[in-house]
Amino acid sequence: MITEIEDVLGDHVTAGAIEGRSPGSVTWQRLRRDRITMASLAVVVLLALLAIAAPILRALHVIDPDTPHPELVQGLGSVPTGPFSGASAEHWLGVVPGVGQDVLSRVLFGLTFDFTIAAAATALTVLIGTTVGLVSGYYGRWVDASLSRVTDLVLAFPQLLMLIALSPLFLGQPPRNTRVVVYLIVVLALFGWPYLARVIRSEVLSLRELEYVTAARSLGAGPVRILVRELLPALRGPILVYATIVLPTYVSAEAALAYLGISLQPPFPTLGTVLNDALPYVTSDTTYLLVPGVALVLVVLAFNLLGDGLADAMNPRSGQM
Amino acid sequence: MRRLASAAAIVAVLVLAACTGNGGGKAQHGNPGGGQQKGGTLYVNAARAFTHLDPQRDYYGDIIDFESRTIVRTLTTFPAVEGAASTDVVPDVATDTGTRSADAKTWTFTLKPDVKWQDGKPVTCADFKYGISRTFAQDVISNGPSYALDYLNIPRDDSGQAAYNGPYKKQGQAAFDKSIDCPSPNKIVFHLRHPVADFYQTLTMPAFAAVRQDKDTGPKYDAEVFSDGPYMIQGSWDLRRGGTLVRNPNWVPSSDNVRKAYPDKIVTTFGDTAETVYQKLEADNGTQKNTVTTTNGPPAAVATVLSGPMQGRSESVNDGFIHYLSVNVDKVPNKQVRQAIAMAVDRTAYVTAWGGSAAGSPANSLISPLLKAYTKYDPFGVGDKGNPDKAKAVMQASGVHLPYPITFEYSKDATQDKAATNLKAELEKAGFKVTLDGLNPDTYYDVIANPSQTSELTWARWASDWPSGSTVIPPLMDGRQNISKTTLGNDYAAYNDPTTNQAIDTALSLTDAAAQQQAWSALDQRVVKDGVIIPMMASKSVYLYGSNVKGFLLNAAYGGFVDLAVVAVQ
Repeated sequence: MITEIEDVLGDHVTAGAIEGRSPGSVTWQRLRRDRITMASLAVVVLLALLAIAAPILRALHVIDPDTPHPELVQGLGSVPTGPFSGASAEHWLGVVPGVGQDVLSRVLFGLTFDFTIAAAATALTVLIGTTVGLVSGYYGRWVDASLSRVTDLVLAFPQLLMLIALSPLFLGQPPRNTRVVVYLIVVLALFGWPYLARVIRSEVLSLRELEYVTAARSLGAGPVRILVRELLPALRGPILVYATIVLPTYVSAEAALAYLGISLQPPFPTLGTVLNDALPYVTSDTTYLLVPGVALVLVVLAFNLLGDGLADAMNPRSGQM
Repeated sequence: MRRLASAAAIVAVLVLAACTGNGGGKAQHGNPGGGQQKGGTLYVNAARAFTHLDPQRDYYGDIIDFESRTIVRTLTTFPAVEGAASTDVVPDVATDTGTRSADAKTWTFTLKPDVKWQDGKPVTCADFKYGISRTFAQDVISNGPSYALDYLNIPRDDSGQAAYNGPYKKQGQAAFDKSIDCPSPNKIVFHLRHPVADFYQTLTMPAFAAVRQDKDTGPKYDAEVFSDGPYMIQGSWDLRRGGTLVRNPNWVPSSDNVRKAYPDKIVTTFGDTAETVYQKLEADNGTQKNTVTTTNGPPAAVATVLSGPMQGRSESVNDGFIHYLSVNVDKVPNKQVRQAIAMAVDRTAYVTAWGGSAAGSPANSLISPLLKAYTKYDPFGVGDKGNPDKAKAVMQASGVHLPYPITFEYSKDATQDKAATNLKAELEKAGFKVTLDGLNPDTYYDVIANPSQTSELTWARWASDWPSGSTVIPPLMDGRQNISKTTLGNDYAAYNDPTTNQAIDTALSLTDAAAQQQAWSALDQRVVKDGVIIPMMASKSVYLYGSNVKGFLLNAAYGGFVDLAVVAVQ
């Protein structure tokens, strides 16, 4: 995956070469012609809006992810009474076996949690990765050498394994919800930044030799100004693409960690907890598994397609491949 | 008895985590009775290996059941019948259920003449005496029940332990010899330290079975049990993988009114996960047609197994376990608040979270409905569904500040998360603010027994060692034997009430079994009414078996495991 990203992003600088228009408008025009990317963008925006709306809807008592309705789950083995997970006018996508909470509300609320975690972790990833990449690529020599070794070192750690191994240390017993949230964000980001740092570093290695950088330097610009004002704007493309691609991996990481027991205490829903709760019901209550499953697939697919589309739009040559 | 019973209790609780068991009435769709023929090979496939086969070291319901029906005979045993009737103890090696002295401290049994070891020698009083003596060698014969250490009338040393260290080191042998008397080879007399009205039930445990001194190989006996039952070990037995039992040619069927011993051979295999055990049984191919399991159906399998084509070869049974909540009396000293919790909980919703009627039924007592000490009881008049409004009224009247914060600790899994979600909703309706703490199941009981880590409300479950309140109330509710500076033992409510403790002593000394069970029931009601214990569910287990298995029976007295005494293959 690393090499793929690097390939895609490698020559993006040429995107700015068309006269008379800003790189942004060029990219946007290309994007608009790409129907798949536009469709995924629409899905992403919709999901994001739903995620933002869920807490508001809950406050307005439109959705209710918590209240149990045991009377709705009186089937054998406490599966919902009625077909399709007991779907009804009140519970559009049915209720949770055994306890009878509204599935749609739980998935929407889970979306909020997952998006919050993933967005925060992505922001932190971008912050660390970009900083390390910039500094490492610009200064070169021993700075680069040592930062690159640190990057390699972190890359060598298996992220998921570390998340599990470190959890008892930081989460304590029992794991408090706030701790879990902080832990997920920090650890996901801590093991996610090296890929971005490598991409940025290689970009900076070529960027810093360009004339405009040399010009800025000869005019007396300090290194901070060059890094922030000259180099960083040129890196918006790869950063945006990387962020779009890394965000859904964090969402699926949350689901995997929920399976391993690192998640919020009930009744607070996350996509991962809802999905894992549904797994044993694959035969007896298939609808229940489908709803969070489809939601997770949508998130991952939409973001990935959007990321691909963005990369293509910013780098037409790779798009023609 | 107390200290030992509490150790036993811990084991019982741990066992259930691994192997909860049966449900009340046997379902109607089974094929009990009729059509069983001798012959064939029966397979036993279990997820959890039989960790100890040595009768004095065996403390798990599934193994106790397995070996009591095949290679180990006891003075008394449980009959192979359905439901609560299985707890009516019947004689096995003994001719009757014993004669006791008026003070219930001396018990005399006569042995049947034709009970034979697998080499044809008769089973004598000396063999039973030797077998029981092995329990005292705790350094070698570890992990078993320790009732013998507490019951037998042997002088105590300074630390309160029996002054006898088993048949290998033989220190204090003379004292032990006085506690079990063999006036003749077929007569055995037990001298007990204090009255034990239900001692004839205690004797159903393999820990009180006979072992031949010349066949005792100490720690290795675990895999080399010398049989006096209808089967014997063929070749060698692997504790992790299992082994094969074949007929004991010297077993006299007329000496045994419990074991029918239909199959010629019994093959055990261990190591599959519970899910795999059930996938294989569902497929019903090859030897799986002749297979039974001691692993109860995992929740996801329950709906599949109890409906559709598998309905005819599945059974559910009351397994004798009671799920209950403990309200910590140190953290919630106000009795009205405790009672409000008890009024607010909805037992029907709890049962639903566990899988509905296939998983259990609402319980109102700490003592299982399977036991004689059980009394139906509704102390707060709120029924099984509870009444959060009434609870809230009590809370308001109690003068505490609302919402009243409590933390509920439970052993975390998907099922318990749901049950906890229900509890939170009900309690919050009644004016509480509930924090849910789902704890790691591996260390759960250690955490809630730790006074510095336990919370206001904790979950637990329990089953009796033998069908008597003596193995429920004292190990759970006697604060003296449970509570120390570092642990609450099994008394997760930190309940140490002098009146209750005194009543426990009185009940233990009762010589009339019926009166004693009544006393246990009264104590049960007392702790429930005080809001210390909130019984939730009498649990059930579900089992599936192969299509050639006949006369399938789950024995409630053994925790609802399959009763090999009457199971046959086609």
